[in-house]
Amino acid sequence: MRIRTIMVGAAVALVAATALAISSAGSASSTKSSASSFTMVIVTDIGSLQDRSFNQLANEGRIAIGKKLGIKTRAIETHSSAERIPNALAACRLGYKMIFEVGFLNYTALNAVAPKCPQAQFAGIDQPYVLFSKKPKNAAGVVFTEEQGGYLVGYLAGLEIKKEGGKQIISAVGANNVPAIVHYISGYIQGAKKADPGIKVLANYANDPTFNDQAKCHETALNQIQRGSRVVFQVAGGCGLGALKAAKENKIWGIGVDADQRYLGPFMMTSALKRVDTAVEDLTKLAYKGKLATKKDYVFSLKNNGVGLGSVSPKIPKSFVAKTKAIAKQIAAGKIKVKNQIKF
Amino acid sequence: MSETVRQLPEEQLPVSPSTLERYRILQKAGGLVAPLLTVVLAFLISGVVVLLTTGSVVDTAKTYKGIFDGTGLDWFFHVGSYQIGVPFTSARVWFPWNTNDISSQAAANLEQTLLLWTALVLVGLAVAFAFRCGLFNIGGQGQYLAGSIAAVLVATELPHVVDLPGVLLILVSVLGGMLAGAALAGIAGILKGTVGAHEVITTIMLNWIVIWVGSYLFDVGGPLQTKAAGAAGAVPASTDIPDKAQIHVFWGDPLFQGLDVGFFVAIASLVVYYLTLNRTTLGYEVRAVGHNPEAARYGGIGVARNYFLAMAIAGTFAGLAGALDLLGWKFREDITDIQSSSIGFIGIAVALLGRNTAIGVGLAALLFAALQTGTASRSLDPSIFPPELASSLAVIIQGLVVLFVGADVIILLALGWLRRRRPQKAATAT
Repeated sequence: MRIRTIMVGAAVALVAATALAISSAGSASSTKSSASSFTMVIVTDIGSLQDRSFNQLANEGRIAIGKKLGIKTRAIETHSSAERIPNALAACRLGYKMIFEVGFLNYTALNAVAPKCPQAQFAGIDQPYVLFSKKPKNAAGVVFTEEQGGYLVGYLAGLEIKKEGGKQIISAVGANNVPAIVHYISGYIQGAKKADPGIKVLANYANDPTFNDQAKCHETALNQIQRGSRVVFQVAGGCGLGALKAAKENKIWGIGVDADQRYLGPFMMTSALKRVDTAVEDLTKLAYKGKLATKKDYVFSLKNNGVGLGSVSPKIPKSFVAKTKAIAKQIAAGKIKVKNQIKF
Repeated sequence: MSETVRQLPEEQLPVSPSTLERYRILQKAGGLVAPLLTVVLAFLISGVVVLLTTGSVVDTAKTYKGIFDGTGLDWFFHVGSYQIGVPFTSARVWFPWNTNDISSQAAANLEQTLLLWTALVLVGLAVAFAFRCGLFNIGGQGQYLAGSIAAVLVATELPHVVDLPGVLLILVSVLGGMLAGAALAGIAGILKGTVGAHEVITTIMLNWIVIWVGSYLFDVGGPLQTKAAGAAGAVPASTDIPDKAQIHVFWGDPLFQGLDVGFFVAIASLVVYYLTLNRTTLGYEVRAVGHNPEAARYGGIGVARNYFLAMAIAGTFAGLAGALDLLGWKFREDITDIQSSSIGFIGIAVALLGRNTAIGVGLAALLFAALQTGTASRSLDPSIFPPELASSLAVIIQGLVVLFVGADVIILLALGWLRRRRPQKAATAT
């Protein structure tokens, strides 16, 4: 008897669950607020909204501008490459007016969906417009001059290591070989050499395209520290937090990326900022006013505070910070040219 | 289960024939009831997790409804008057459901679920087939990638040599993918058969070889990196395959990852799997080796040969999955995908839950595909379930299902205990 009771019970539960699902299936999706017709959504790259870096910055920009303008916003996370296009499509179908495709590799999704979604405007963060083979009329590229931020932190690290004396070795841990990371590391090397021509810069990839595997970056950084590195610059989003952990464990300097990561502890020298939040806010504001220019790139650089130097550890001499800020001015004025791709 | 039958010698049987028939049905159902209970239990416990997160029963129900809608299975309940295209033609005919993935989120979601189902069935079969020969194939991931890489190589490079029509090019590319998968898995099979190297170790190591070879080939500056304008020297991906090498999409827009005819290949593969295992000498030998290699050897079956064949066939399934995915919706291989994809490992869960049977693998693949698309952050209402937590929810539910797949022994024990109690009851009653 008992088996029968259990089986009947299970069957009833299943039927009830299905019935519930069916009955509620048709009732949703009719609750659109008409407070403001302008809406905005960000679709992240693979990774998480709490990567303390790229995706999180975009999300912070979204929340901030949503409050400022009083508009409805939403974030959609991407977990695998199979989700890129469906997420972009869902963002379009949900009726959002401004759609941010965050992260370089989302360019395929933007390229496919934007031409078929004329009612929305698209912006690809980290995606130059030239990547879009279909040349969508309603999309803009957003690029950052990461090499300038990398140059500044490299310069500051070079000054500090030169003062400290000893082995002149610093390093950078990249997640993988994508343009933004190459730019950062290229600038870092140039900046360090400017401050300390005899310095050696180790640069390695942790090969973590998920930007989330701290163990991989931890290992890569440990390897560099073993080879004598005394400053670890992480260029790997969530993965890079592992690299900074290695720096902390070995009592050497760490440098953060994208967001200001000095909150991690007194071992942090500074961070190379990439104001993804500013970019999201600025472009949303433009689109809100109907002034977003498409078919072009928005460049965020030292000139418009799109990149820059984060807060600096109080253990670093004030004169070094002043020197670095002077360099920043020279770069912004075009007096120092930073190459965005060098061999390393 | 067979023990319970042996415990009842015929002269002792105080029960009517109908009871005996009931036993038989139950025995057969045991293979179905346990996995079903497993899944129900996993969903109930994840429900508690959702309840703790959202703090309200209504929101829990809404979250589950969001997951259900996200799978696209609600598509079946949106009946109306629509049209559908006839595959391989431009004709359109009347159809009760909305198949337009621009106007119907349900259709778009279901396409994604079924696309994933296609791949999961094949990688699931890759694990299941090896299992039936007593081999634990952890290399589904590597074999899948080998299939993708081979397919993209053939599809992008062969047109430079000969100008094949689209159908032939697809066939050759798919064959290339299958061969690559078979060759990779075959290595593990040969090593197992000849020197006894454990297949778990060798397949895991082969996974990494494929991942790094692929990364080398398509990385920026790699020998096969794309040369397309704007992407050359910047995008770590292969060249796009030519349009004619794309597998025909019969449902949805090819641009939007519609469902391609590879779906039917997966269905056919389930049939092939069943027939090969149960209706051929090869399948008989494979199963015999799986039951007891020593006895099989004593019976004159070449154990080493069957290890190799079983692994090669398993690799063929996984390679096919990789090739179909590539020609069906990826169209290019990028190193992010090579390094972050984990479909081969979900295939292990599919085979386990599906009990290595054709129907079981088909159903388990549907469950895992639906879970994957259902818990995508686009389908969960951010006002009810924070998008920051959505990805964790997916992992929790999948983890629980996998956990209870192992725990189904407990469910089986409970069922067996109940079954053994019944004849005693019947005896005391008379």
